[in-house]
Amino acid sequence: MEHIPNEVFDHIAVFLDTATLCTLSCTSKQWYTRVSCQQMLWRKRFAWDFPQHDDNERTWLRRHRQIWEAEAGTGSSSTTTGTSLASQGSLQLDWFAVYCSRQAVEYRWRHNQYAVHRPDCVVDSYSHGTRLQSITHIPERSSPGEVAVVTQWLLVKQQQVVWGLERLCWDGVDIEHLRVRGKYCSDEYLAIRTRCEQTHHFSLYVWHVSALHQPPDIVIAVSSWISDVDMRGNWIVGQHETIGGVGQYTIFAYDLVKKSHHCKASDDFYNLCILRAAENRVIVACAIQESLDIGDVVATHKLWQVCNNQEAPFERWTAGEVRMIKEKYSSIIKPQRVDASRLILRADYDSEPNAETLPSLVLLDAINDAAVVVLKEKWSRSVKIYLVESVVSRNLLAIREWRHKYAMLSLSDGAEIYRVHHDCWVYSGLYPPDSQWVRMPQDAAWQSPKSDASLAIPDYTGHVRQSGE
Amino acid sequence: MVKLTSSEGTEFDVERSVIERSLLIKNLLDDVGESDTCAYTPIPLPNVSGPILAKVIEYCEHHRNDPVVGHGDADAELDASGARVSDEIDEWDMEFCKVDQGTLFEMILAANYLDIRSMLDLTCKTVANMIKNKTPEEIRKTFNITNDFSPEEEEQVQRENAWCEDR
Repeated sequence: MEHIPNEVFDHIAVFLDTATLCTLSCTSKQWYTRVSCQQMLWRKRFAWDFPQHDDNERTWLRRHRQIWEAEAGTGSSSTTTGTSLASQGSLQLDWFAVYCSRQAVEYRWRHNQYAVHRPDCVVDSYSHGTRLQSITHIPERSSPGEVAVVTQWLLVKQQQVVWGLERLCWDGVDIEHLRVRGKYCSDEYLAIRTRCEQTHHFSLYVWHVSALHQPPDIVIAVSSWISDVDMRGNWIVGQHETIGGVGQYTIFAYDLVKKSHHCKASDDFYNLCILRAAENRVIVACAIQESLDIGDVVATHKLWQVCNNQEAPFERWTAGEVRMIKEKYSSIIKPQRVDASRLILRADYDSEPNAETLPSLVLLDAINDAAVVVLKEKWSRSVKIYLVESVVSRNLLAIREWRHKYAMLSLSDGAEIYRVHHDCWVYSGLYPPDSQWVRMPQDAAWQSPKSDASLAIPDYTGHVRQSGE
Repeated sequence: MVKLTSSEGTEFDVERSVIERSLLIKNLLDDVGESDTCAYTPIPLPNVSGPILAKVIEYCEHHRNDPVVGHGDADAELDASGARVSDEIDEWDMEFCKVDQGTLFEMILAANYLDIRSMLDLTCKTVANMIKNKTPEEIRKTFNITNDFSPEEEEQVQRENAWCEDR
């Protein structure tokens, strides 16, 4: 087979699945090189198996690229046989390495083979390094001073990846009586909600992740509970009871770059989420049910656009209604973003639905119609729901019932595709490719990383442990 | 009729419509034109031995009425992993490919040289099926590949590719 020219091997390779190709690469150095140099094939297979449709997949590839470029730029990158593209003077990604690394990450999480890193240094910031990822840990109802951010740094000069522990800077904030009551993270920002034990006031503080050592911005400070906080891009939105107004609420939207605050009074308490965020505008989806009764309820959904540089920044775009089931007095109908063009409305539901049960889950398409966006119902399902997670790259919705069971529904039509325990993926958010799903037995129960004591976080003497790839 | 000469000088007479499954020969004949001189002027095929040319002609005769498969695999059926489907081989083709490994690889090279896409697909599928569902050691045995990794290198590649066990 050694005498088969590369051109002919190209033909054979298109009939081989990626696992077989990688197994072939393990047979000898020559075959390792011949398989790994099929860059077009690996790039295509990566796009096929790991479509970059969700934040987790994009973040993983960006991080891989950062490490690759740092290593390749210094010529230190090495693959098993020393035939790396970097050593050939090219800074293009090695798609064979990209593909295999991505597969390996998912495999290791599923088989409890992840590495556990212990941050061995406490830092203010690494100005000479690149931040790869930051994981915020906040013990329940802790004091703000106890908030720990564990960051993975790429030290470019040393070509070394290290884990460090950062403390938030609270300069200018009297934290003595504050307790942390929530955190919100995006790629760029970290927001912390606090409550003062003395005054019972609530506040929302924000840091840029590259400036955790600098004092925070105060988004809002009010005497009532701040709810429905959501953050995306450079926007953070939320809601609180209007000071002095009984049964009146204020929806706010804060531009974290321009530091501009917009708000709107409302007679109703909505549940909110951000559907789309752009530099100068944010589209907020809201839902409200007509009554607190149980059973058949009408849920109203609305879209608001909030724009900077507009006299009336809040502009209502569209409204609609759907009938849904509500099981408990305490449960509420919530909107939840799937991606920039899809949204779900969901109600907690734990009974066995029958043919007459109204939907507990509705998927709405956000369709551009002239200058506005309208919401149209695409499908609805009566299913048990405790938590919902979007897996956009796999075109799935992971519906968690009580007792940790998951139903994976197709985002296209709501049909149940798989039934698995999916805790092994919750840390990374990196799911297996479609070819893997079809081979997994129904109700497959993978070990949950949550049961691993080494992943339990921290004591507060600097010994913070975190999970990593 | 068209006359073909193998690498050893063996001559084969074959109907033009049959051997036109080879795009190389079809284009050559098209360039020469409709004159029947080609019947008397053998086409030399220095890269193809007599036994392999006989197999090629056998293939072309059996598939003479099949639609010609073009280049590019835009319409090819893909499996869940994005690979082209390789397990759909009809009975005659399967029997046709029951040859020793050396002959099979020569058939691949001939199909590639003569530009017979469907035969190239068939022979490549056959090799692909010989590789699938095997461990590295089984592949080495099947294709007589020498393992030249050091023990440390082998351990590293196996560790990096542990995910392949999931197949």
